[in-house]
Amino acid sequence: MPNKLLDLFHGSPENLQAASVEIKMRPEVQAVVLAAGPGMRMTALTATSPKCLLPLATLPMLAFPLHLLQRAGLEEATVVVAAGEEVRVSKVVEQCGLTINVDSAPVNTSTDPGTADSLRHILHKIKRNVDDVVIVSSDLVTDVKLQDVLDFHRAHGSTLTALTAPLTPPQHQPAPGPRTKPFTSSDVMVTESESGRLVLVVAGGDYDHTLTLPSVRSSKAPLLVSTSLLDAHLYIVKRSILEQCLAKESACQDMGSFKAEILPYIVSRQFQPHNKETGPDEDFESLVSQYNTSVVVSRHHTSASFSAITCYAYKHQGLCVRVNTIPTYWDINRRMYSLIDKVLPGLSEPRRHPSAQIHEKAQVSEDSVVGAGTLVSEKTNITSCVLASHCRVDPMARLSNSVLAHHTAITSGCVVENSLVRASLNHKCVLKNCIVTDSSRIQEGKTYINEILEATPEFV
Amino acid sequence: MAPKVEVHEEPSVLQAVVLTECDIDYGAAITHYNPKVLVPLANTPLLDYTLAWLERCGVDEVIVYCRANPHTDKIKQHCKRFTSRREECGIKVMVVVSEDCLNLGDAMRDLYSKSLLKDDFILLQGDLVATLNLQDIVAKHKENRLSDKSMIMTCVYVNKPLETTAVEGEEGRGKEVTATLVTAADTGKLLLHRRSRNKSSKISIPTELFQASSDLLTYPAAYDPSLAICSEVVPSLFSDNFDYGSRDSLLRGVIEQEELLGYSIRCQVVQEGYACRASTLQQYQRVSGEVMRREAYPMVCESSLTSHRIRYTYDPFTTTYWEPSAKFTKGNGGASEAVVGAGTEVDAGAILTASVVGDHCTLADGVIANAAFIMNNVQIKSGCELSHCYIGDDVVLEKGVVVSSGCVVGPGVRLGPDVTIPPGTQLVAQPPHHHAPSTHPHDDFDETARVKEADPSICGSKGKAFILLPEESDQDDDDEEEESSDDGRSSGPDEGDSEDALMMMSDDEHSENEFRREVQESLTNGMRKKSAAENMVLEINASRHAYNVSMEDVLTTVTQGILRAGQTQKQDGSTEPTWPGINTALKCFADVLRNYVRKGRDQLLVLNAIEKLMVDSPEYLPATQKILFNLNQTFEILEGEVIIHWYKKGGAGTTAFTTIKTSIAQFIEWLEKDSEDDDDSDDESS
Repeated sequence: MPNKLLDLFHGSPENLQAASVEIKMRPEVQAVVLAAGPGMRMTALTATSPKCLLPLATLPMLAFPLHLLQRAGLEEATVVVAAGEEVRVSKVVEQCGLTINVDSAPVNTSTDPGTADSLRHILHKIKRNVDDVVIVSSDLVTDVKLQDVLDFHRAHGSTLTALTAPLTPPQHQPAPGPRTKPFTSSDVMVTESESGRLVLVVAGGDYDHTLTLPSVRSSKAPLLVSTSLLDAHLYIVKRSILEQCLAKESACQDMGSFKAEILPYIVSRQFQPHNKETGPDEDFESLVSQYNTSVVVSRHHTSASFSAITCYAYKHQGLCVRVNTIPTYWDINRRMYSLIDKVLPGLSEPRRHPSAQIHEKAQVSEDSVVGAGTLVSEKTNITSCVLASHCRVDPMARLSNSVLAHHTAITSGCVVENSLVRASLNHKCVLKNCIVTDSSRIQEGKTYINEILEATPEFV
Repeated sequence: MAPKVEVHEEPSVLQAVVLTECDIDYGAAITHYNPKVLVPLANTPLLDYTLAWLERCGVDEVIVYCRANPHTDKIKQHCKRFTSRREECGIKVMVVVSEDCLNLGDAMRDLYSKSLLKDDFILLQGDLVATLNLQDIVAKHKENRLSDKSMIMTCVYVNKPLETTAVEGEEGRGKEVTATLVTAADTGKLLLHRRSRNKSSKISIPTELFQASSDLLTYPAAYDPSLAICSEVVPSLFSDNFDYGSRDSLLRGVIEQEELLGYSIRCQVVQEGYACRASTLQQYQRVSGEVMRREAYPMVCESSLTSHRIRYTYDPFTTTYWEPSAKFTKGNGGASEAVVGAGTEVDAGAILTASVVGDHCTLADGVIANAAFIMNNVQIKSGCELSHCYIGDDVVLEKGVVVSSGCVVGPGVRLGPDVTIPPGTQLVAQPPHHHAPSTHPHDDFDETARVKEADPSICGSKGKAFILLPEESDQDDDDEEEESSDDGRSSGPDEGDSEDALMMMSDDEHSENEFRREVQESLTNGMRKKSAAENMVLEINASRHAYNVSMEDVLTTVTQGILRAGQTQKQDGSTEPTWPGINTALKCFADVLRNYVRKGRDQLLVLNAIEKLMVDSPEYLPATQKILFNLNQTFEILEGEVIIHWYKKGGAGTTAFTTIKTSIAQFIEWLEKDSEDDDDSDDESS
């Protein structure tokens, strides 16, 4: 042994290298990205593409949560995807220049699995030596620093930390397509106003005439009952509790949704008596808390005599959007020009890709985004638009306030206003407030207003 | 002439209304001799704390509002003394006396009719000890009022954990002194106000409140010091709504009828400063301790609140305060958290903890006083043990007296030697019925304890003391007035102990009791005047609306009231329930009762009401069978089947049921037979 130690100090470079490998720290968190969602609230768009690959500006949606994780120094993420999409998903990384390793785990979406089912499916992939699991939805666009949330989680000795942010209405309205009523029933989150401790979580509309708060009378802090808080679907959960809840014999075994069922369950368990985890070192823990009154709850005292489960909400004041409806998708796309530096800092994706060919006689406004390989011909007028990669805008086309998906061709003479175009416009037409996903629905010289032009389902 | 000058002067007057007839008092053993607001707390009358605080907060004019009673002059003189020390520019105190003021609502209506209130004013109770920064609160109130004209009142709450400072021997404390509040997070507008009644502290929030505000701040148990900043609309609102009795009823009314009235109430939950009402004796004890521990700084024991001179010496190490003239025999080190008044002698062997001793007392060797509040000129001889009790002026405790917790020893009482006073006893020096009319208009506690001679088994051989029966509540006093033949057992098996006796009453209970009293009065009068049933119903319904009582409670009250109305006067003046009397009452009011009994469930309620009456007044027991028989057969209010069903289900499940069961077994048997016969006859006919 002494010899070996000496080797370490005086030894050859090989030995030093070996030492540096050994002191590499074990990962404390593992990330799971839930990207198998079908996008039920935006079926017009997800009929042709999985939700997680819908482009936000020029990048697929999935790149945003992955970059969020990468920014926090995570090296690996498990991505749950719908079966059959795993190849496309794993391409996202190289396509966007991310360095994070993606381990895609396909789930069979034919049975319409919930988020909890997805998690159960990949439970075996969660390493035994991590403390916490970060669960993030693929549709999250935020400028939060995950590191801050992780620090908050650890500092509070939290069992579960949920990222929340003030709910902000879309800035760009109206969204294209027919007028629909906004989705109203919002989540109810009850937190202790100062500490941010989560007291109650009720998923949208899942309440009656009254809402019963659990008894937390010992606390002095008033409770903030909020319906204006967005649950960003980013959770940091202790691995132990996640495994408990996902285990076969657990009370949650029939729960399908993590957010609507398992999260409220974990939160409610805080206030049930005897929620102590009985672990092998409980005796020790009780001794510690008995004799060392200065013990502060932290992650090192998971099963101290304090209530074992404590859930917190991290209240982020910045940008936090879930892109799960057409209005939010529309809004975030339109805002992407100003947001891209905030939500993807350091990712070199310029607003005008160098490979884009913009004719010098084309008028492209400053606040437009132009993707790689996109060709903008002369005498076109493009204001406040998002043109994804490999689009083609023919001469004499006029685009304003619109979003074009990848590989969209706009034939000459088209006028597109406030529309979402996901298929080539091969005929001259006028679009106002429309969503186009099927080019065969476009007829020459026609004007469309407030319509969804999508492929007609076969059974009609 | 010079209106401009007036304009400048008028708005600067900040008024405060101090109610001295606080909603709850300390029991007749204390308040009979001294009004509650003049009871000394750490040797300073409670009212002085309030006045001193208001003065410091820049209040210009204080209206001390009291009900006309023998203590009024004392309060007047006290206020005069307080202000006489101040110069012209000091605080003005005006004592307003009213003949018939039962609650806060009455006081507001009276002040409104006298138009004494000019602008925004502070409304508080006279037993409040507080150091909150009123100026900030009032400024914020005015600011809010400027931006929102519909806002008429700011209620002030203190957010502090009550549990952590719980005083020993107190159960269920804080349940009426706290409120559950739901406010709009952005404006502080009060959306829901609820008195947390039961211990299960789950709060349910109506989800419709989300329409009013997307973010609600919920205070599960905010301490309510009964402090409010009111605009001039509040008194007018009280006078428009005669059924508003308390501030709570105003809150309820304004919140429920927001659309109708167009008013709103805001809350300020204060985090800093001290505020606590010495509302009950338990709270009195708690506030005493907190004042001694200097939580109400700058109102501390050593400085006189009237003259601001330093009157006591203060030892921060043991938290003891003593007047320089107090004598401690050498070597006394047994005091911690104690206040000792002028000229008091404390022997070396006496141990004082968390206690207050007034002026000119003597505490002999071996006296142990824990949380004892000893007034002036008290002699306590060796070996006495006092804990959590109140000892009035001029009390003499002979050797070896043990005063248990919750006891109140009224002025002039002698006790001992070697007696133990059971917990929660109230003792007075004179036989209770010799008292001049006390603070309560209803409680000339005459017949309740007609013992002329002091009972040595209670107060010891040298003693002179009479037990004052615990007043459960106003209602029980009334009951005792009405029936009174019974000797204290009427307190009921579950209510006799000290805690309940000293427990305060919530407003709901209060209004229920008031309702009961009114119904009883109506019925008694109606019987005398032989009023028509419709008029009686009208009268009862009017009371019902005034107090907002549920139909079920009405039925229970009416049933019991009818039976109580049937008491007959005995020769010695007391009353006794006899069958002939009850029978006439039943005959008289059968139609009234019938009016309220509409469905089968109502019949059960009547039966339960009768059973509950037996719990309170077992002397009705012999008549039960006859009552039921008549209600069933003569008046046909109760159906036989219902009675049998009720009987088999075990009645209302009170303690009285077993005795009732035996006494009506015969009747039930007969009924069962009767119904079988009926069935038979039905069969035959069909």
